[in-house]
Amino acid sequence: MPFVGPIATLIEELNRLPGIGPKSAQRLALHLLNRPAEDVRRLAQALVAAREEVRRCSVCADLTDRDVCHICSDPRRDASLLCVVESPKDVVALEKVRQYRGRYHVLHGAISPLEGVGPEDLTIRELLRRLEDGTVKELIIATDPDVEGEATALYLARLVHPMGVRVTRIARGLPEGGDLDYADELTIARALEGRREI
Amino acid sequence: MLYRAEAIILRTQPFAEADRLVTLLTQEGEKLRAVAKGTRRTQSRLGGAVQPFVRARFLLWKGRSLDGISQAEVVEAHRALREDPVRLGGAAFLTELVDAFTQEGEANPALFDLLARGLQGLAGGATPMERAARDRILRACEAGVLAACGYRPSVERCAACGGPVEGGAGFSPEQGGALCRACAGGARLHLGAEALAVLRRLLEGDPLRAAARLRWSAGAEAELRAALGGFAVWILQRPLKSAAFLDIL
Repeated sequence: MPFVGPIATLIEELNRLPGIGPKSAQRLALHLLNRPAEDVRRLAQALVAAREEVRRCSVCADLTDRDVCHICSDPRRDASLLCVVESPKDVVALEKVRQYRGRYHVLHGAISPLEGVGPEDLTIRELLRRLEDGTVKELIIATDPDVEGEATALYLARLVHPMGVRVTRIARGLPEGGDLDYADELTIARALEGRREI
Repeated sequence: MLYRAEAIILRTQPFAEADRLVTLLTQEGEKLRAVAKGTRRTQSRLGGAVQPFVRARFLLWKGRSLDGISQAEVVEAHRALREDPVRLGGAAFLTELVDAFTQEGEANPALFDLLARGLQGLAGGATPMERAARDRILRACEAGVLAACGYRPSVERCAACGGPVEGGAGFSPEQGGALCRACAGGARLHLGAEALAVLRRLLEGDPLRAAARLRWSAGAEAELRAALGGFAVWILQRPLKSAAFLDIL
């Protein structure tokens, strides 16, 4: 007999999450029902608090619980360097490296003609506004190295070049620790193009 | 069970944690959907090959609900399509058009040929590509796709009364072709003499070869785009998403 009532509702809601199929939703629901009530209450509170308190930073559009976010408000960050990324996940990935000391701008997507995502669906207008006062000297475009990421990079470069800001694109090529013979032709071609004298 | 297929990638979509769901058009003109596991990870050896517009020889495995890509050897990467917004917009439009007019399980080899040559045309030529040059390729491919799928618009006889349409007057997606002066009274779309002559040339033989020899005015281009685009929308009952980007990118 299928589940009914609150269990069915819980399974249905979990099933709406990305990557969660009906079986996984059922497994998670049953797991939650086996946890102490206090654990589940904490989870529910964390969900509600995150949804209500987290918003986009009014400067960089990254997700934050305070406006402006900790990166934009940090005076030690280099305001002349601005790195454009597709999503908040990319900020986390770049911050893990602890090498980049500039600031970020989160586009919240990439231009995708096939998915109907255009420039007006991204935070490009906000980005251009940030560049107006001349503080930013270099714009590093760190969108994904796929068709959508390339389209976005090309579009941004065309918009920003006339503003006198240096526009750079993060390098593409072989991943650290990888074997050359396992790389695909496109990646090797890019790596050859981006070679540097040592 | 493994099988081989040479194909062009029409589109990719994120799938599960780090996979891509890939839509392919094989050399036989059959549309396939296959999962490319782990290709969103930077160390995937398939990642570069599993991108829209790439033509490659694939080794696929048969799955219960979805097939999967095991290996890929790139035949044509068409990098120029990603490095020029005008070409990119055209390639996105062309692949979406072919995707929209094909059904899984139906083979139409003419479509593969048209797509492969259309992408070659968009990737070649002078850099940066002029919009007019791109649009000539796109109109040829539109006419070719419509004809290859059995929707050849009527351009010799009026689609409403069957009379001659010399000189051109209108175009009716609903009636499937050009309209004569007498029938074009309330028609939404105008198709002048030049646009009609171009459309006839595109439809009488190899459209891409014809388009390479022809030049037409901006006015005729606008009429052709509206007529062929309107006809495709009427058949598909939905607009192509990438059409809106042709002039933005």
